[in-house]
Amino acid sequence: MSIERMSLVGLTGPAGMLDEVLVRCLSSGCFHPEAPPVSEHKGKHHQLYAENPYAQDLRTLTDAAHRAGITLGYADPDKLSIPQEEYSAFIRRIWEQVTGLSEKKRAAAERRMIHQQAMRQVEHLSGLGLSFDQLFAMKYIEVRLGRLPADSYAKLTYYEDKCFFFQPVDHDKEYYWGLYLVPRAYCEEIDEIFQSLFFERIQLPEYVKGTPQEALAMLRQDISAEDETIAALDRENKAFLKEHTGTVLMLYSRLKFLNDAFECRKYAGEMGDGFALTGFVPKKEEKRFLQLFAELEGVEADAKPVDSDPRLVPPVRLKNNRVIRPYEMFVTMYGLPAYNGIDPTPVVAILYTILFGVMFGDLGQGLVISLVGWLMWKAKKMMLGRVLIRCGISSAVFGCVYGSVFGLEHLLDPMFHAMGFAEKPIEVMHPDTTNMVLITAIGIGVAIILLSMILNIALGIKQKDLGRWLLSHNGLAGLVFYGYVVAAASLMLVGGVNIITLPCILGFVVLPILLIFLKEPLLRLIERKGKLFEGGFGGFFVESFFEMFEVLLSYITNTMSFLRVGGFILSHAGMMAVVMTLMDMVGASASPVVMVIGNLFVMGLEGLIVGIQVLRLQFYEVFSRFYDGDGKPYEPLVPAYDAE
Amino acid sequence: MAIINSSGAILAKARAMYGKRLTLQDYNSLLRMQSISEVASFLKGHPGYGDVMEEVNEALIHRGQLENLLRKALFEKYYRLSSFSFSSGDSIYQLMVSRYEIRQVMACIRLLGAGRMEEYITSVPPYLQGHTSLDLMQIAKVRSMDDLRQALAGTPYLAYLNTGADVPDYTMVETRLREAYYARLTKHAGKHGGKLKELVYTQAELFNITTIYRMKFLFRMERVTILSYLLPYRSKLSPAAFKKLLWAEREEDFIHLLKHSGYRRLMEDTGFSSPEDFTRRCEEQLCRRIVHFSSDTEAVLLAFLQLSEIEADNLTAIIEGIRYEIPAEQIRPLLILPQ
Repeated sequence: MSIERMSLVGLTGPAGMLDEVLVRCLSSGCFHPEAPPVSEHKGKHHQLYAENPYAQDLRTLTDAAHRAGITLGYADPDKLSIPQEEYSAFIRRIWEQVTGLSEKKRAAAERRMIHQQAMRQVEHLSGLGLSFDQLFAMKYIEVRLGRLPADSYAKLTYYEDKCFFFQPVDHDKEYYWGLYLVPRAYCEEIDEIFQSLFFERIQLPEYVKGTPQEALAMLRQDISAEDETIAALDRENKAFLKEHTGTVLMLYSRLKFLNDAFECRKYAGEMGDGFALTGFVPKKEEKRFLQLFAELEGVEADAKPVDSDPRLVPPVRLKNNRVIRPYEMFVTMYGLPAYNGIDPTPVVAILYTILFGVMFGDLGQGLVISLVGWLMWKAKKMMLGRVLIRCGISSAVFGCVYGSVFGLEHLLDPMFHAMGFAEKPIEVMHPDTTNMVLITAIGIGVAIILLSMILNIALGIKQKDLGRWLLSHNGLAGLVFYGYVVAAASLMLVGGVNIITLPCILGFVVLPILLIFLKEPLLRLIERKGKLFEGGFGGFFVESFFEMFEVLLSYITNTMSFLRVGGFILSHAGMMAVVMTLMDMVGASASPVVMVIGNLFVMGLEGLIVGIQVLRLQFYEVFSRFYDGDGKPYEPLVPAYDAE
Repeated sequence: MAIINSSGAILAKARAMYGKRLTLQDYNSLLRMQSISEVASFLKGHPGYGDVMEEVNEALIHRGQLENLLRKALFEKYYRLSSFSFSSGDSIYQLMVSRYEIRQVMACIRLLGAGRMEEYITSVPPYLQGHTSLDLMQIAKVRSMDDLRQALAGTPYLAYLNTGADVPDYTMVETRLREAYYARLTKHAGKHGGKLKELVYTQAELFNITTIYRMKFLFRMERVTILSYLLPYRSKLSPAAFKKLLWAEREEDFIHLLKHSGYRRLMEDTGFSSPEDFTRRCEEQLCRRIVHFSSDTEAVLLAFLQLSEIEADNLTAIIEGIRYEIPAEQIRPLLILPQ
């Protein structure tokens, strides 16, 4: 439950060994590379950069696979029987075969489309009432069948002095279907005009004779012939896939690996006639990683302490056990911790699970949520599903405390009686309980805020940041002030004990406020950084005064923010009470339906809102006090087989 | 009963329509295409163009027809939006119609000057009929400047043709018409204020920047002459910066001045390859920002229209590039692509 320790590793060697080193780095799966320092070697990297020899083959193979409908992914390339020098020739053959097939299919599909469109257009001409044979048999008149865009039809008046006759037989909003008749002598000129008006001619196949109805029958025959061609090509493609998919995937995996390894040259810097690579590996992998290069001649690999190069920021990988790991998604959503920071995942895991359970306590609904989460994880591998499993269990546990099962508030009473209780421990809807619920919610909030402050102090001490652990409003000064005010108020309300005395006020209120107020000048004084008030005292005072005002206000608002925890306990019980009332209203026969729908509705709506609200509390009330989220993610080199 | 706010409705509608724009991925797919029919087929399946392309026969469609359809779609898009508006949108709608009218008059004068007036009929947008006071069919039959004056009788455009000369100076007529258009637009925007004013004034200023650059460095024209072609509006340039641009001797100075003007940030993002490209990219950035963040209905409407025009221009460039078999890498720089 921490941040993975890293080692800084350096690899040097002759330029000729670079590719082999990169291949081993990539296959190690744990090397996080750092970009070479450009400023020192400006203009000197060219020798290490060359055109990627695998890129073209990879592109061609990927293109062929896409055309053939092969879903690219990893297949063990060690079983590949083709020697490396024959890769290009094999890929070319595959590509030609695939493109040949897809071209044939495309042509057939295009012909089919043309026939189909001709058919649709002939359908529009079915009102013609003439045989095409008669039309085309005219000696002095040419006939053109087709459709004219409605926009162009409006322009026909412009050509009213020209020698043609357009007869529409059908029209819609966009087109006029029909024919134009033109004397042969004017045919060329009129064809040009109609072409400029985007008249689309319907080219009937030679053999289409007779009336439009007969033409339609011909076209239907053509379409089914093309369908058969397409089906035959599909069968051929299927056979091709059966024969070659395995080889294509293996070859793709091999080429992708080599290509990605070659692409990693960008991380190499030039050092004399050789190269230098720098990066991070997890401490526990260090030995195994260095061992990979032991046998490579001229290659030196060594590990250094992680902070030995101040220019490099170590990457962060969170290390948590299986129970807590799903909650890492919330932490990474906000931002990773710094390498020397604190991993907040355990805090998030515990608080999120407990708060969700408290706010959404119901034994039956909790178990359903767990089941849904399990299904999400199993079917879709959604990390949120694993979070839901835990939250559902928490919800079920608190459901037992509240004695609530799918909104039935007394179903567990026999169990409580058997355990020796007179009734269930907490009756949420009882008027006396309401205040207790809300005060407990505030109490939970106070505890969480104090915990966040303690974490901030610990982090400040770890980072040797005086301003952070002592003088900030989330540091020791803030903790003393907030803790005292809360303690004073609680003791006064609960036990009638008054600890508001002058020495206490001076020590626990005035002093912390002064420290927070004077944080900046005090730090300047301690660190001896020039003037105490950089922009003048007036500016400092006004700025700090308003900041102080905001800080004091935020203590109150942040604490009150936790009222929502209590609010949701009540609203959940309230919503289920509504469901129960509706069940009573509809009678015995329909009440199971109302119960199922009501429970689903409450789980869907309230479950979602509670999930969001708890996350909001984590991010705003907890993380904002101690967490920066400015860490750099650990991204080891691994070939991305599914990327293209 | 809920009260429907027509401004809010237009904003929501405009943004919903904006959501159907072409994405970078769409452009990449289009650039890979080999034929006009492939483009037509792609657009037919795209939510932003499905309606207008529904009846198109992608196997037979002509480049010009596809371009016409895109322009028609653009006009209809805007008309649809303006029909949501009960008040303010009408003015912008009228302005847009007048922009289309000016384009028609200018196309007519240009073709008359070139002696190719018979080509005009192919570019007549019939979808404009019913929205315009111009009789486009009568204009199509024009064969001389007198015919044109007759066809334009009773319209506000006639006055700009009566310059005293038999054949008016095309550039000067265009400038005067543009001035008149911008006068109406800025008057409306000035009254409205806010983002609309910023958009309109910036467009006018970008036109001036392009004009200065072209006239100065391509046609080597005198400063005094250049001034007579400029629009009297400024947005991001101070009077001093504007004067310096006008006085810049070399192209490098001009670009350097722009880099240190109110267009500094835009220059950092878009660079400067040509004045037209710079103008389009600046407009695109500004319009995108307005559509994303502004709640000013008219500004969003105008910005959305501008972005739609840019998209139509992009598609036209792709279609023409494919028609003339220009490689995709040469077409790409001509496009204003979304980021």
